[in-house]
Amino acid sequence: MYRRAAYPIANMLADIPFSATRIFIYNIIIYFMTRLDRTGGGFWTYHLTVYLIFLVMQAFFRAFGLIFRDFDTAFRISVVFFMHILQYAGVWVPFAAMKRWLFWIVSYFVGVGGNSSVAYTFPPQYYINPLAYGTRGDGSLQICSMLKIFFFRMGCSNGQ
Amino acid sequence: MEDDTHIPTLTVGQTLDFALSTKAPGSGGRLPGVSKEDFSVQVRDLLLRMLNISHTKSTLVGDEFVRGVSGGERKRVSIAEMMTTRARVQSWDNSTRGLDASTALDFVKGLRIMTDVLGQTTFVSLYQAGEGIYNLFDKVMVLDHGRQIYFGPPSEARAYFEDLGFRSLPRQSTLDYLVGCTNPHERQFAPGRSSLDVPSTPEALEMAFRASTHYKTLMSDLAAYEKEQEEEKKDQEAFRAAVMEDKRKGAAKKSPYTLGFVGQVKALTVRQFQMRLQDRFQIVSSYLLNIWVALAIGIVYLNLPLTGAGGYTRATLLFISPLVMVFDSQGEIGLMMVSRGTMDKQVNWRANPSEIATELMCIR
Repeated sequence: MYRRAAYPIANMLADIPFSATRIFIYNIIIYFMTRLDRTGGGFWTYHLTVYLIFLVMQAFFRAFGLIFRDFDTAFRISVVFFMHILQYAGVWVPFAAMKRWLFWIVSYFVGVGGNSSVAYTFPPQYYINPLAYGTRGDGSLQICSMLKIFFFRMGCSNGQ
Repeated sequence: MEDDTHIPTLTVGQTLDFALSTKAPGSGGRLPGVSKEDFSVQVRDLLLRMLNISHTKSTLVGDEFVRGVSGGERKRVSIAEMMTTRARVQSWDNSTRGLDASTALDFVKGLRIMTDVLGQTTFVSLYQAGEGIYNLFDKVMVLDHGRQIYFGPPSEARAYFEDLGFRSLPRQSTLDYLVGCTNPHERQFAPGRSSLDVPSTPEALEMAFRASTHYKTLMSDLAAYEKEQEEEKKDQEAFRAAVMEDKRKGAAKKSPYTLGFVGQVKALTVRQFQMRLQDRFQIVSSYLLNIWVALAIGIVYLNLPLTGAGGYTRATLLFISPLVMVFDSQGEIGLMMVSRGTMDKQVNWRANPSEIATELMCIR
């Protein structure tokens, strides 16, 4: 009746009306309760990033559910991958403390040298970690990260 | 097909609508002036009436855990779903398992109707079928350790085995008798006969069948059919043309699907959306949970200071808020497992080129 590939795509599309409203409500509550920067740009950047992270990670978990036939294997293996993504998102483990041989999970650093005391300089480039894309952003693509935006805005509003 | 694997939270009508939306013919295969939607609705209602389950149209299909239609009705939903595929050769493996006698009879009658109406070939294997079911079939095949020991009209099967020297017991149904003949512990020989002068090993039974008139008739029928097929290419051409005409826009000529990939995604999206919309408990609980969690996070990080003092907490908040949603989506692994069986079944319902070839050999 249909190809296997049609199923995950359809599943994501059918879920969007529900997840979009759900995450929107969730974001509004958090954003305005914690008094993050109250501008349109700030809020929509935050919402877009959180929702994209949600969609990507949802697809990530669904992929394990589709690859493996039993729940036990799917769950355990997904957790192995998920823990690495989580730790190497650049928040729990700071960049300087990351193992060099695990950088491919999160990033490599461009421009070695220049500054003799710091071996690696910003901006990092991200490989396979959706969480890192969301929380830190990619300097080379000129996409400002959520964190950068908020630190920047905080500085501005403080100065005014 | 042995089990009824359906999505339990869809209604009977929706289940058939989905099947039809992936299998309804393109404009070449419909009467002029009949739209795709009209066609699907007509065929769906026809199928429901034919199998006598019109009253269940808006009842959930259900399963062991979800309350839905009864077991016999669910079997008929399976037949109806299979009928929408318009497959020309179908096989049913022990599909009456767990049905009571009258429902099993209804089920086989449904198969009989489908075979007659659509002019198709149906293979059925059954255990413990009554006389009513047995008489509905055109041909019966008896196998013993993989050897064919009888293949012919059901009405002559009993006489054939009695002639071989097996005794039929009083009040024993024909099928039980036939099965009994292959079982050394169950079969009984006619008075005055023993395993010495009755073929009683699978090999001997096969030899006996090959020497019988049934086998000769079978072989001559087969030869006649093959000769006819070689001379008359018309049927094959017509069949190929019909399959081509059925294809909807976007489906490649060589593709085993009636529907193109985009169409498949559309049909599936509609079904998945219906499924989610009907699961009211899941919708309400997920919204409430999200609001609850958002309030909790909001209270923990209430009104962060706009100075450098709020810097580190702010970073944590920005990391944690998407993370909670990510943890929530981990439940998707389980959801994927739930619909697995239905997907495996439906993915396999396609016309393979090799299957078409075999089918041409079997049509009689």
